[in-house]
Amino acid sequence: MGSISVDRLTVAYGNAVPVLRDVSVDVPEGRILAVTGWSGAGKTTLLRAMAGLLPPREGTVTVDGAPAWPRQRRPGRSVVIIPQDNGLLTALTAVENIEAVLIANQIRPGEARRLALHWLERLGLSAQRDQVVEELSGGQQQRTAIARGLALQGSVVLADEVLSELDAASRGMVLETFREEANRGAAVILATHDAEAAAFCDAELQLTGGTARPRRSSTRLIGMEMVS
Amino acid sequence: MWDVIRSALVARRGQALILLAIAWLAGTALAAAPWYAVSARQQVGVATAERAAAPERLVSAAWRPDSSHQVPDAPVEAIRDLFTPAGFTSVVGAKAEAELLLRPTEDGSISITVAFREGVCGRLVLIGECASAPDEVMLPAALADEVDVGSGDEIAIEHFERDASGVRPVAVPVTVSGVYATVDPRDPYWADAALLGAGENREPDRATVFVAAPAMRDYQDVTYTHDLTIDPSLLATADVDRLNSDLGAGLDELRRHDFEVGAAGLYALLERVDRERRNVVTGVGVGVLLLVGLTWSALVVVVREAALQTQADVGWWRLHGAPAGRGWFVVLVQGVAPLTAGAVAGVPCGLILGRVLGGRIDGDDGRMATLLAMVLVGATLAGGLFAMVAAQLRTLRMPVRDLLHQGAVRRRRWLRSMAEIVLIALAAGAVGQAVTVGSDAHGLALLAPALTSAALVVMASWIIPRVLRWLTSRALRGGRPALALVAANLARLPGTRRVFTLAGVVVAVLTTALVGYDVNERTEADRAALEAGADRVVSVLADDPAHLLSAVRMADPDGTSAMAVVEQPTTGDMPPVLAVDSTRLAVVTGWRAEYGGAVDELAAVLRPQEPDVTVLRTERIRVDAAGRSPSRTALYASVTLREQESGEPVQAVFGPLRQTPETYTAGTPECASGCRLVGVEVLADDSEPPPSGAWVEIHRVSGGDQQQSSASASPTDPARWRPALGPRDLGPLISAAGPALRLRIPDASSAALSRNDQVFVADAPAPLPVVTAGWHPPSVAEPRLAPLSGPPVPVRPAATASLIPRLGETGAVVDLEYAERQQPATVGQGGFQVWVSSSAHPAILEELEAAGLTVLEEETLSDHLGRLAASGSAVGARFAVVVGIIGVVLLVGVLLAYAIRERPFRRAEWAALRIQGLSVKQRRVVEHGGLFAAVGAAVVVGSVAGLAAAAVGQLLRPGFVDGWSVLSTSPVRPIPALIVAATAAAVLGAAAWSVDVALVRRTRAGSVGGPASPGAATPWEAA
Repeated sequence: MGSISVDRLTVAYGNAVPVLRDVSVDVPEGRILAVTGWSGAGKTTLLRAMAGLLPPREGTVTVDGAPAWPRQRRPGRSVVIIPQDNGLLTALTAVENIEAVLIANQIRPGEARRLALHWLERLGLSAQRDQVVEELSGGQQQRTAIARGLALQGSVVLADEVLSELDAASRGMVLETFREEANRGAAVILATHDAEAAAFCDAELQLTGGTARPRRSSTRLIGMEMVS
Repeated sequence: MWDVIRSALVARRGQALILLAIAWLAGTALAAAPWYAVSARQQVGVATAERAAAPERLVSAAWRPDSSHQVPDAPVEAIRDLFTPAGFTSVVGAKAEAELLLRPTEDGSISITVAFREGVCGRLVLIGECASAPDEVMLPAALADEVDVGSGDEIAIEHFERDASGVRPVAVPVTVSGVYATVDPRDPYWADAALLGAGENREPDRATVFVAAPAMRDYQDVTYTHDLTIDPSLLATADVDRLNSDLGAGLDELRRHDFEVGAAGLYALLERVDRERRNVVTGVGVGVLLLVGLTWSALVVVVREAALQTQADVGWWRLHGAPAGRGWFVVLVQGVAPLTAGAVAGVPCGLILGRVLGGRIDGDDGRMATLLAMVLVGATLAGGLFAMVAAQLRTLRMPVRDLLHQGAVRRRRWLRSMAEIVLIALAAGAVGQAVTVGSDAHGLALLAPALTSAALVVMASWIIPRVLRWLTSRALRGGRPALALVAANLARLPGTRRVFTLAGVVVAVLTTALVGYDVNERTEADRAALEAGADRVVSVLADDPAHLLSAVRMADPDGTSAMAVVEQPTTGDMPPVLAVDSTRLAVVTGWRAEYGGAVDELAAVLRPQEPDVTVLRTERIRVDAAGRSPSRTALYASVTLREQESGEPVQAVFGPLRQTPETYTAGTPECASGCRLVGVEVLADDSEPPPSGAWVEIHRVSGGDQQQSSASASPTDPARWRPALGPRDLGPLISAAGPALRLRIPDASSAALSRNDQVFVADAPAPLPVVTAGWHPPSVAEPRLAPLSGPPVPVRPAATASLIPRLGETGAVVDLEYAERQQPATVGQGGFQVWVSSSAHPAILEELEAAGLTVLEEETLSDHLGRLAASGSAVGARFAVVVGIIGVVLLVGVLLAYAIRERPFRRAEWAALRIQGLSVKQRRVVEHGGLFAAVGAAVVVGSVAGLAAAAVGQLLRPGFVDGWSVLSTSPVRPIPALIVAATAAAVLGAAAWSVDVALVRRTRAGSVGGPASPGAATPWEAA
C-alpha cells in the first residue's frame, strides 16, 4: 500500500554542517522501522525530510516512487506525521482536533466524526473526547495526536517520539496499533529512545552523529525483508 | 540578579515597551485631565460673562435725594465709598431732565437729559472740547444738527426749581464745548444704555447733554447713579455663592441709604455661570473617572499578559531549587520598572499638555490641578502595581507544571463573576435613577452611560462564548474546519474574553462620546442657525427699505448670496416681523420645515404674484392735471417715483393746478433708465395742508419723450390707487372723473383719524400675505402687523409656521418688496439687515457698500456657534471624545501585548495543523481570522452598547443653561457610531495585522533554502 525510500540523503540547516549525511533506508509497506539515536542525532530531521518538509541537500526521498520534496501543497493522506510536540490545538476538544484535521483532508464531516470517535476509543480516550486539550494529561494529549495521525489512514506513518509520555500499558497499546497499521499496508517509521519499542519494530536504524548505522538489519530493503 | 533582570527586560522588550508606553500614556492623560478641567471651569465662567449683554453684568444703583437729604459735597466719591466690590468697574454719574430752549427766534424746546458720567469724554468722539466748567455742555451730533448749533455756540437749558412758592422754570445759559458721537455704544461702560438716545439713530429717546460734575449742582431732582459692571475675569475664580452673598449685603447697604438698586440681570448671569461650571465639572469629572477606569483596566490586562510571559521564569527558578522569593522578585521588577518609569515620565508631559490644551489657570487653582494630577497618577500607578503584585502572587500558588505551561491556564474566576454582577446591578440602578431624575441627576446616575456600556459588553461576553461553542460544533458538522477553529479560539482561549471585554467597552465609550458630541453639535448648530438666520447677518444703514432692497439686488444680481431683510421688534401686542426679499429665501441657513414648509412653498405664499408696477422711462415727466381748493388755496400734485435700479426716491411737484386740465412737466433725469410710479400727494400752497373738499384730477401721467408701463397699468384708473393703510390714516377719496383720476381731500371728522393726503399705486396685494408663528390675530378686528417702521397695515395670514428664522417661536414673515409698497413712506432706518449665505463671494460686503449701504456690524453663524461651543456641556462632550480616543490608543497597546504573548503559541499550533493537512487558505483564515473576529465582535458589541449608552446619556443631557428650548434636542443618529466602528476596526485591525506580519516575518526568516536551525519552521510549515 505504501513504501518510502531514502537514498544517500544529506540534510543541512542553512549553510551549516549537515545534520544527516549519506543516509539510506527503504521501508516497504507493512513494515515498521525504528529510528533511534541520541538526542540531536537527527531523528526528527530524518522524519521531517521523509515527510517532505525539508529539502535534501543531496540524495532523494521517494514515497511510492515519487519524490517526497517538495511536499504537496495539500499533503493528503499519503504521508502522515505525528509530531513530537503533538501539534494539537489547545482550544479544541480531543474529538474536535481529530475531526478538524480529517475534514481539512477532504473527509466528509459525518465520516470524520465516526473515525474520530473510533480512533479515540481505540486509544482509550472515549471518556476524554469532549475535554479541551489543555485539560488532558501529557500522555492523553500524546495519544490524541496519535489517534489524529492514524485516523488519516496514511500509506506512510511517521511517528516522532510519540511514546515519551506514555505509561507502559499505553505504550503497548500504541505499538499494537502501529502494528495493525503496518498490517493494513502502511510503512511505519517510529523515532524513539525506547529500546523496547525499537525491539518491537521490524528493523532499527540508529543515527549517530548524523550518519546511519543499521542495528538489526541492512539499511536497505533486503535487510527489512530479512527481518520479516 | 540585576544582570538577570536587565537581560530579561531586553529579551522581552516588546512587552516592556508596551507597558512603558501605556503607563506613560496613562500618566500623561491623567496629569493633563485635572489641568484641563480646572482651566475649562475657569474659562466657562469668563466666557459666559463675556457673552452676556452689558445690562446682565450690571449692578445699578440710583439715588434721588429729596429735600430731607443732604447732598454731600463730593457725591461721586461718597456714593462709591458706600459699595464698590473688588472685580467690578464702578461708574458714578448723575442725571436730570431738562429742556433745551431753541433760539429766541424760534418757539419751543426739546426735552433732554442733562447728565454727568465720569470718564465720559474718553468714550466720545468729540468735535470740540470736553466739558469741564459748570457752564459747558456737550451735545450729541444729531441734536446739534437739529438745533443747528456747534462747538462754541451759546444755548440755554431750562430746568425747574422747587421752592416755597412752587415749581418755577429756570433758564441756564451754557456754552457748547463740543459735539459728540459715542465711540462704541456696546461698550459695557454705557451699562443699560439709558444715556444713549437720539444721538445714535436709535430709539427716539431723549438726547443726552453731557456736563461736568459741578454743573449738576445747578439742577434739582437729580438722580445719582452708581453703575457697577462685573469684570468677566472675576468669574474665572470667584465663588458664585460667596459673590451672591457679598452682593446681597452690599445692595442692602445701598438700600439703607435710600438707593434704588437693580441686579436681576447679574444674579441671572451668576446663576448661569454656576450651572455652566457644574456642567464642566460633571462632564469633565465623569470623563476623568472613565479615563481612570480605562487606564486601570488597560494596565491590569497588560500587566497580566506580562505576568503570563514571565511565569515560566518563576517555574524554572523553582524547578531548579532557587528560592521562590528571589525568582518572584526578578519577575516582579520586570513589570514594576517599565510601569513606574512610564507613569512618572507621563506626569511632566501631562502637565505640559494640560497647559497647552487648557491654557493658563488663574489664582490658586493651578496648585489644586497639579495636586489632583498627582493623586490621579498615583492612584493609577498604585492600581497597576496592585494588579501586578496580585498577578505575581498567583504564581506563588501555582504548581510548577502550570507555571511551565505554554500560555495561560484556564481558571474559574468567581471573583470576577461577582464583580461583573455587581457592575450590572450598579448599571441597572444608575439607569433607573437617570430615567427617574433626568437631567437633574447627580451621583451614580451620571455614570449611567458608562455603566450601561460596560454592563452590556460584559453580558455579551457571557453570551458570545456559548454562541461560539455552538458555532464551532456547527462548523465542523458543516465541513468548515477553519471557521470552527476561529470560533473555538475565540470561545475558549484564556485571555481572549478579557481583551474582548476591554475592547468592547472602549469602543462603546468612544461611540457614546461621539454620538453625544454629535447630538450636542447638531443641537447647537440648529440653535445657532435659528438664532442667526443666515451664515452672516449684516446690519446696515440704508435710506429706506426700497433703497435696501435695490442695493442688495444690485450687489447680488443672481440672488444666491444675499437677501435684504428688515427686522421689526415686537410692538404692543404685535409680534416681531421679518420683512424678507422672499425671492432669496434660500440664503437662510439650515432651512427647516418648521419655517412654514419648503422654501419655494413659503416664497409662493408670501409672494403670490409678481407686482403689477407702472414704470416711466423718461428724463422729463409729464402730468396732465387739474385741481381746485374751496379756499382758493393753490394746489399742487407731488408725484413720487423710485429709480428702479437704485431705489432712490424721485420727487416731482406740479402746479399750481388750475381748474381745467393742463399739462405740467418736470425734469427727471434720474428716470432715464426707468422709475416706478409710487404715489401722489396733494399739497397746498403754504405749509398748511390742503383744505377739506379740495380735489385734484390726474388725467395723464407719462413721459415727456417716451413712456412705458406694464400692460395693466393705467395711471388714471382709480382701481390702481389706494390711500395710506395705517389704522388712523384718513386719505383722499379716490374716484374716477371721466377718464381722469380724482383725489378729494376728506373732512377730518374724527379726532381718532389723522389726515394723510397721499395716495399710492396699488401694486402689491392687500392685505399683505403673512406667515405667522405663535401669533393669533384678533378674531374680530382686522389683523394688522407692522412689517416696517410705521403704522401697522392689514395682513392676511396665509400660512402658519412653528418657527421663524431668527425670531423663534413667535413672529411673522412678509415679503419685503410687498411690504415696502404697502408702506412706501417709511422713514425709520432701524432693523435693516442683509442676510448673507455661506456661499457668498468674499467681496460681498464691499459690493454692498458700493451699492450705497453702510455696514454697521456683522453677526455670524460661527459667532453663535462659538458662544454655544464655550458652554460647559460642550466642554464635557469634547472631553468625553478625547477620553474615548485615549481609550482606543490604550486598547491598541493591550492588543499588542496580548498578541505578542499569545500569538507565537498559536502560530506553532497552526504550523502543526498545516502539516496535518490544513490548506494554506484555511490556515490563513485561522491565523488572522481569530484576532480579527475578536476585534470585529468587540467593535459590533461596543457599537451597540455605545448607542444604548448614548440613549441613556440623552436622559442626562443638561440642555442650555439659559433654558432655551425652542428646538428639541437633536435625535441620536447612528452615523457617529458607524464612524467609530470603522475607525476602531481599522486601527485595531492594523495593530493585529502588524503583529501577525512581524511574527510571520520572524517565522519565515531563514527558511529560504531551508530552515536556519532544527527548531525553525520549514518553508512548507511557514507557508
